[in-house]
Amino acid sequence: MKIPILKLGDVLLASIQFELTDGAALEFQSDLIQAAESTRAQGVVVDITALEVVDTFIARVINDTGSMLQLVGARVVVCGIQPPVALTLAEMGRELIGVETALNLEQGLEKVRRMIALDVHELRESRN
Amino acid sequence: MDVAVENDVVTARQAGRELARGLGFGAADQTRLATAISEVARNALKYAGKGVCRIYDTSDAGAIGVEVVVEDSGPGIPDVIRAMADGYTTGGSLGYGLPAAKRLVSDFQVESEPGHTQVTMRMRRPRL
Amino acid sequence: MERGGEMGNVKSNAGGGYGSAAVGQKDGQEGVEETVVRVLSEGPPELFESWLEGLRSFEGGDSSSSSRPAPIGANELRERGKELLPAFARLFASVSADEESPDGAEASAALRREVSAGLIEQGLTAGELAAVVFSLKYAVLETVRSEATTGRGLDAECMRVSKVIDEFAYSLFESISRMREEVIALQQRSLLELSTPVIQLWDEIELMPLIGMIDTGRAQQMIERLLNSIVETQSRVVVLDVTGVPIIDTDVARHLFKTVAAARMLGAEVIVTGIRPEAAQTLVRLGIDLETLRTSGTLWSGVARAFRLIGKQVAPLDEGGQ
Repeated sequence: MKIPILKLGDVLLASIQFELTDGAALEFQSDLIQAAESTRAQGVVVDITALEVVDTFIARVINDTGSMLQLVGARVVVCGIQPPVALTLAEMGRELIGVETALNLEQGLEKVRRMIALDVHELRESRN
Repeated sequence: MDVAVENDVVTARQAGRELARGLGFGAADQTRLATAISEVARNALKYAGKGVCRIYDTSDAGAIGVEVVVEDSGPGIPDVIRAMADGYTTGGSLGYGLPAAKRLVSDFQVESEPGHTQVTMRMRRPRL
Repeated sequence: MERGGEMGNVKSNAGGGYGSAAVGQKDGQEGVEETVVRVLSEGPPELFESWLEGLRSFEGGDSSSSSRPAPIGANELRERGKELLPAFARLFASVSADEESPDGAEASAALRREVSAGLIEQGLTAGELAAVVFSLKYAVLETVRSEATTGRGLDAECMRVSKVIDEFAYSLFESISRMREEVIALQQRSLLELSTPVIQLWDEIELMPLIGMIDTGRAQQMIERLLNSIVETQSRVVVLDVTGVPIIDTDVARHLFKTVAAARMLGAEVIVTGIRPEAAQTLVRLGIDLETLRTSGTLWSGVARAFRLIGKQVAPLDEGGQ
């Protein structure tokens, strides 16, 4: 079952609604990159509220997705990490999550918009 | 309880979580156990194609306990000591994910030789 | 069991039917064991004199600066004695019944516990209790010696008296120690519950003051409570104050790092305040890199920083009086 990706202006929103198998995760990654590229999205927010388990593999997929999206010009924010999941990730190792995070969709959108604005600002600065 | 690890790790980790919940483990512990199972079972999948996950209730009057044994008949882990070393937490190319899992449980043992690998994990909490 | 080589008729004692076997003399004279039980049940004045004197010497013995008053006054001792001595008498009688038999051993253990409970509840300190019990031992021995009508078996019996009282003292102090440990454990648990509150300081700022030693269990609880609170209140900054944590070592530092990492995943920044200079030095020397930890010296500066992080500041009201 494909994960729906929504477009909100120049930002893409994707909400994972159920536990992901490894295959589904990689498929989602691929869908997301393609969508970001084809819509020239400036930002992407991924909501993982429904994920009850995030292990090192999924963490890596998340980080890789962030890097890939950056390459096609989009900033990424992951939101909805559950407290037990956050705790487990912190226990497994430091800095396992290499992408920006936010509490929920609302904060996630705010954050990604800030990041986009900062990018634009930096671009202007470097031109002067 | 025996769970076949064949196409994904989701079934095994959900089974572990269910048992843990039933025994009275809190949300954080349930997530730890599920995540640890996920890491180890994925290993079996990746290097052996499939495996078996056995989950036992080891509770007694003084404590609640779970034991999980993940077994596969794959090529084995050539250097168990190195695999357990901390450089592997972020899952590099050899990413066994085992050191990460080890941090989540009370007890962690690995036996591996070509043709047979067995990882035993235990989680225990005293009853209040 | 043989006592002085003679087994006579079983005689009941003046105190009345405590149990069997006080070995008596065939010729009607009181055996030493009987003397012991009689002394304990009658509580003759010289026993109390001796007891009080012993108590005073216990006290005077180690205080070099001033002479402390005896833990127990003469009258109070007599009062207590009225309850304690018969209990002791019972202890002796039950032990002498048959030391080897399980019943005898059990009865004496039960009596010991009973007497222990009675004494401990009277609120004396452990030291005072020791003084009372051991001076009683000497008093009993002295009195028995002077009251004994026969020398036969006197030494053996005095040894036994000493042994019984010593064993009783051991069980007494063991039980006190256990009770104290239980109290401490109870207090620790209460402290645990009391000392990890999460306080909503402002709209998006939370304060968590930590007090007491942080062990793995407490750290667990604290982190879970904090994370759940962040989700509930949608706070973006947490000020974690560790002024009240006496020892900050590598373990505590690890818990702090964990907390910061996990909170960050929930979109919240953590400012740690209250790490004392000594603790800071120790941690750095241990090679723990505190660079990644956001710290502020005082709670005050930490809170100011928190406000800045959410883009707010505290400013004076207009002169006009808003």
